[in-house]
Amino acid sequence: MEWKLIGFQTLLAIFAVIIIILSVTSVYPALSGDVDIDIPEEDEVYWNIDNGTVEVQGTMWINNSGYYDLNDIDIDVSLEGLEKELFNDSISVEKVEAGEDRSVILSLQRDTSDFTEGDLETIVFEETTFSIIADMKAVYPFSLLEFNLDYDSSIDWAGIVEDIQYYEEDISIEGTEQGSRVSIPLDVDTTDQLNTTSTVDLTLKNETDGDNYSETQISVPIGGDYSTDVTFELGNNETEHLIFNDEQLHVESVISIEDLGYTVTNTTIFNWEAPVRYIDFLYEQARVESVPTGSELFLPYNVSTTDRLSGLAQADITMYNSDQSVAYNETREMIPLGVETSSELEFSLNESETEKFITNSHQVNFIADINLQEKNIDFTYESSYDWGAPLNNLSIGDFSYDLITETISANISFINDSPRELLVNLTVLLFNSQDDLVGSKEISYTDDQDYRVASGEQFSQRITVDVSEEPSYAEVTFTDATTGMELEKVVRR
Amino acid sequence: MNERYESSREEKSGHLIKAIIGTIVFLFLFVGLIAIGRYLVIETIPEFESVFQNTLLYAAAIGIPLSIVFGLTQYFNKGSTKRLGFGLLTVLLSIIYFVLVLTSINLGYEGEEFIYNLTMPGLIILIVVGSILKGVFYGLEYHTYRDKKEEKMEEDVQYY
Repeated sequence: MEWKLIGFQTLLAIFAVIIIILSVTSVYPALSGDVDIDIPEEDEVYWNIDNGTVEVQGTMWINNSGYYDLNDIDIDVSLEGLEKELFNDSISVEKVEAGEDRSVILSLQRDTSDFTEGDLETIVFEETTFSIIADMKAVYPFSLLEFNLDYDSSIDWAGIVEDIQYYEEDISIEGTEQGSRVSIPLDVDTTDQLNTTSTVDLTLKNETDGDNYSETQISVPIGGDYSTDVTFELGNNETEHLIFNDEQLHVESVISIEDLGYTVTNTTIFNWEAPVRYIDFLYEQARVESVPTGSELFLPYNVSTTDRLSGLAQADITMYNSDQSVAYNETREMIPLGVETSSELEFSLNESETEKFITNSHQVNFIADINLQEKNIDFTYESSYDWGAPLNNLSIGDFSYDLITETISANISFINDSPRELLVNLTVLLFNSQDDLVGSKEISYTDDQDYRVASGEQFSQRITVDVSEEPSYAEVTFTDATTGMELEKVVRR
Repeated sequence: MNERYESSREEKSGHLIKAIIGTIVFLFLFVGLIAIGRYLVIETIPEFESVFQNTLLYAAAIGIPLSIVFGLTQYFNKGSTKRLGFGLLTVLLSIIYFVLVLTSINLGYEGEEFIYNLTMPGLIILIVVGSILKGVFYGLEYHTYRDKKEEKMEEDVQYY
């Protein structure tokens, strides 16, 4: 019987050796990393939105460099965020043979209709954190070893649209045939975790009356940074409004991510700085001066333009009468932009126009067709002014000749409608019918205070001139010492 | 008669030495090796300290009585009821020892984002089966040597 015991004991020893070999060959590879399960890292998780389905994909690797097959691998994966479980999936792999590296595709899907409007807004615009939770089990044959892996990691989500930035300081305007084109540089920073396209409908409004100026549409590829110029086409009226007026511009962006079935409206407000701050015609300083070629109307002006402009503006200015039926004259000015400019417009006047401007207060209209040359923007500036004639309603009459004293008298009257005091020098020359000088008189404001005529004051004098014989007609010349204005008027009895 | 008495004394002296050696060997295997192994692992890879959770305590608490019981088993004659009893007690203690010690070894790793855990149910079952087989062996040994003892007693009766 003893040999049986010895045999049994030998079997026990063999059994013990087998246990030791199994222990070493199963535990050692597991501890030394030869059996390994690799969960996808954050940058190996791919998001996709397609046809109303949000999909999260990643590849998991099961590396079995041990001595035994890995069996019954169960993987439960869930993705949590927005205070709920968003996705879950279970994957079973029957066997990964010894020495095999097996990739397992994780694919978590969810219909976008399962997301609330708030969820989608968070997904599109906000930073959030998703938790990826995985629970994996695998066994060696006969459950020699059981592997358990609990994985809990966070995935930072920066939002699909991480940043929308309009560059207010770089807004530009340039002329077109219809009016102008406003360009606003736009940077859109979108997540590189997705690859899709969004459509953005943009509307440009002004704040003053809420009118829609213009609409346009752009496509923004999602998957990185995208830069473009958003351009709005403006008509003439809008262009002229924006040329002269600071404005708060509202750009309403309706962002549609069709695959996500999500639309959101975002409004950005810009402070529009008018390129032309002001054009001031200094009417109170306007004057008519005699020049060798006749006379000219000088109209001082100030122009201020934003320092964002440069180059020259060409202004063709036409002066009209009150009902714009008569164009008196026109002049061309080249105005430097980006600086404050003060200069004078010069309008040449013929004889009748000169007399009209000196003796007849009336409304004049200025229409300026202005071209900002670098921007090629055309616009029109109109202004009207009630011109105050320095010798308004000039009247020379009521002549009386005194044969005994050989003098002739006449009344001269006018109202100084101009904004400044007149310093009148009056010259009267009297001629007979043969055009011979028969008498003359000069009266200066330096000799007679009545010839200093304040603005708005009426001048009314009776002039008496010694003559050698009875005159037939008189040449009366008014000169203003301040402006150099001169009016010669021939008056017959 | 004196020869048989001398023979019995020598046999008992041999059993005592065998018991002492068995106890020492078991103490070394079941307590000493665990202590040395733990020390070497922790010294080599300090972060593996968490692998041993009360392992040495269990090894000492069960390993020491196990070694003593194993020594006592070796001390008694084959075929004796006491050897069978202590042998089965050794098996029982060794099962407790392996279950406690092996389950106290945490072959896992706790990282920032994951917990990796390794259990050995199959190996534990194999060891328990092995221990039970050892118990069976004690039973067989008792049965074999009890028959031989009875034969010898019959021979002694005939001799007197």
